[in-house]
Amino acid sequence: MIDHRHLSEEEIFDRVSAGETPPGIAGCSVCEREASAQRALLVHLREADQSLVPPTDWDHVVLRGRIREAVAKETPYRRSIFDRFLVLRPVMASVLLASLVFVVWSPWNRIDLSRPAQVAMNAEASARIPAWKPLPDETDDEGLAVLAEWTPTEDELAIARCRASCLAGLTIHEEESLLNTESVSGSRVPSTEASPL
Amino acid sequence: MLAHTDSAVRVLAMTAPVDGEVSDPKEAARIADRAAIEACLSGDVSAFDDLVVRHQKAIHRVCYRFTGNTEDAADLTQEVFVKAYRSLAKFRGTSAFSTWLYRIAVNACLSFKSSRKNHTEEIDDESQDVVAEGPSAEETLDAKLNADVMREALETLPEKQRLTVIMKVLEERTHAEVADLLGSNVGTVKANLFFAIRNLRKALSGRLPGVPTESAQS
Repeated sequence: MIDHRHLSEEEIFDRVSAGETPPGIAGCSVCEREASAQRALLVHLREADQSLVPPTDWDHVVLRGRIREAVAKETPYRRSIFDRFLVLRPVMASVLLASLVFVVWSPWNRIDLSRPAQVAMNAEASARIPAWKPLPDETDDEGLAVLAEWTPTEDELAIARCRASCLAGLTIHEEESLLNTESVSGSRVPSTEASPL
Repeated sequence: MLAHTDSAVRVLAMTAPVDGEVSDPKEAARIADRAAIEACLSGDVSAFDDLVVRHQKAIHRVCYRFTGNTEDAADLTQEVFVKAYRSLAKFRGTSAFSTWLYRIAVNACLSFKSSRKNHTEEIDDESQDVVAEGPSAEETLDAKLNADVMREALETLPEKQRLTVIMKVLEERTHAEVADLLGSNVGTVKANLFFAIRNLRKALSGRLPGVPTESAQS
């Protein structure tokens, strides 16, 4: 049994708006009336559009002048020097890439540690640089030579011990002021010329 | 050298539409647009005039259809081109320049409507009062009045529905094209169009011959 139904407004409109007659509506007064109403609406719509007074060429010229004036008030575009040479962009990019590759893979930058000669050369180069030490070598230390030649007397040793014990807790300024006081009062400790103290 | 390059671009922009080497007029227009844009972006403001010459009528037409009067249409057209100039650097060329320009026009139409909503509503109210007090449409309105009634009804539609009717029915664009311009999909365009027609019928309320208020099926 065939089930007949009316076409929906949407189905009819799809056909009517495309300028076609919806299939299968012949004989169905409801669908035909709907289709003709939609067709009439579209006809009125197009007639209303056509009844709009079209602008003249002069109107377009005037409008063009207005647009030109409005655009002239805008900031003009300025391109950088690189943007101007668009053709050279790929070339510049290639050169940049080649330079990068050359720097990274340059034979002068490559160190092959597997080669023994290279290892020896590197060891020799590093041996030329002396290791850092907090104190100078004995040969370079002049103070050691002075101490070696100096033979302290019993008095000098006693003074040195006394100073070490007495001045241990003093600052350098306190020590200096103490020495000045001693020298002013004339009770300076006798010392020999050769004494490093 | 730069001056020569600019001149060459300019010449290309001027000659491309009539260049016999490009057989497809759309392709020729696309090339000409591209050249004019390049020239414009290089600082040659006058190249933008070529774009205006080529697209002004089409943009003005859609604005005129949307607004229904020449003054507003001219303002809107000017606004569209100024916006296009400002955004020219953003044009990537993935679509035709005309399509891109149309999108700007569509957005401008939507903004235009919203910025003058109160004004339009006042006009709508007044016009509805006049029609309500006057004689019935079937007896007195001639073709001119029918057109006025239709335009009135068209103005009552929501903006997107109105633009859909304009582009699909009056400009005879495909559903896909309209969807692209409105930034929606084909299904939405079809639905918009259908509801626009239904709303138009309601708004006309039997004021036009051959267009009943309600669907024959309801």
